[in-house]
Amino acid sequence: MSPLFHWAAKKGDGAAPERPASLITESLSTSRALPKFIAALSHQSAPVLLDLGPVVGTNVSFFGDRLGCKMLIEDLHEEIEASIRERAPESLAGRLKDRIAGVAASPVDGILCWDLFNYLDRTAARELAASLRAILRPKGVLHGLFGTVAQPGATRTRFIVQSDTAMKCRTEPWVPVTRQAFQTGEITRMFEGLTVVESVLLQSKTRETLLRKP
Amino acid sequence: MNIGKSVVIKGELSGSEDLTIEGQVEGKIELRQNLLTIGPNAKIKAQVFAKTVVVEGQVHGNISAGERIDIRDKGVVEGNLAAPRVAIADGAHFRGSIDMQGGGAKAGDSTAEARPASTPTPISAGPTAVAR
Repeated sequence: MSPLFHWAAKKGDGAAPERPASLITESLSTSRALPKFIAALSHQSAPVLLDLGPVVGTNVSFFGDRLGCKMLIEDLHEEIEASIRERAPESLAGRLKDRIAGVAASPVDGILCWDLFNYLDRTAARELAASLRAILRPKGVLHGLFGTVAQPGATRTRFIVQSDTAMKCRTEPWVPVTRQAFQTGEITRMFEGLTVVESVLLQSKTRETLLRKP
Repeated sequence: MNIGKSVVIKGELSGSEDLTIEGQVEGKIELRQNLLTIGPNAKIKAQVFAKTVVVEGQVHGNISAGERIDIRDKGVVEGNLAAPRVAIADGAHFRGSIDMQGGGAKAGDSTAEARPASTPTPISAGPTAVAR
């Protein structure tokens, strides 16, 4: 079993973990890449935006109002959670690939990749990055948030757009999983072929990265 | 008008007044000029067309609205949404696509959604109501 899942496996029978309310926290973060992401998409008519996390109504309304876009919601957290519950970490890369293949019929103009890669092992992360590179249209942009500190935890973070330059970060209880750390060089290598437009280390030790397909 | 939770409808449901569904509907629901509320107990497997759609229960199928789709906090939708305005509350479950580009598709335009996440099972034409 991958070390990524050891902590989860100790929790026992795979039943839903307890979700203490004390794990819920909120903070506000300033974004430098989000305005560039929005600007890149606003130049396109009827852009298609792919969100890889759990649906956040505020974000749907925000991007709908700002961009008049079509949003595809592919909550990959479902696959991560399922692979942990089933104690089948080796299946995760394939599950993610299948989910992305489901949307690959029509390329997308923008990808929101928030609070995702840190829950993946290196193999799954590389394969997912390759799939995302492939479905991004030329001139398309990917907005990623990558944690830079490895740590076990039983929380995930929802990012809720407040404005072009501000996001609320809400930490909430989730399945126990070890977060992997990703540094700039590794992110760049995973998404080789995409150009780094912006890369900023936030106070939360999260790296905000904007990538564009040439 | 209300459709109670003991009612099961298989077929096409259409009308010209606001409607609240608490039961089960499989097939197609069409209320082009009216408000459709899918209540907390409702289980819908259908293509839905209405002016405004409020979802508090479960929907498997595509929803198209001329004005607005509102998925409340206990709502579950697996399908594609098309409407000028879409609101999804915290706690709602959604899987599919959201098209806010051109507003809701007209009834009968089954190609409006490019990527159906959930396709309702084809059913025979004609309404069949079964009270349980």
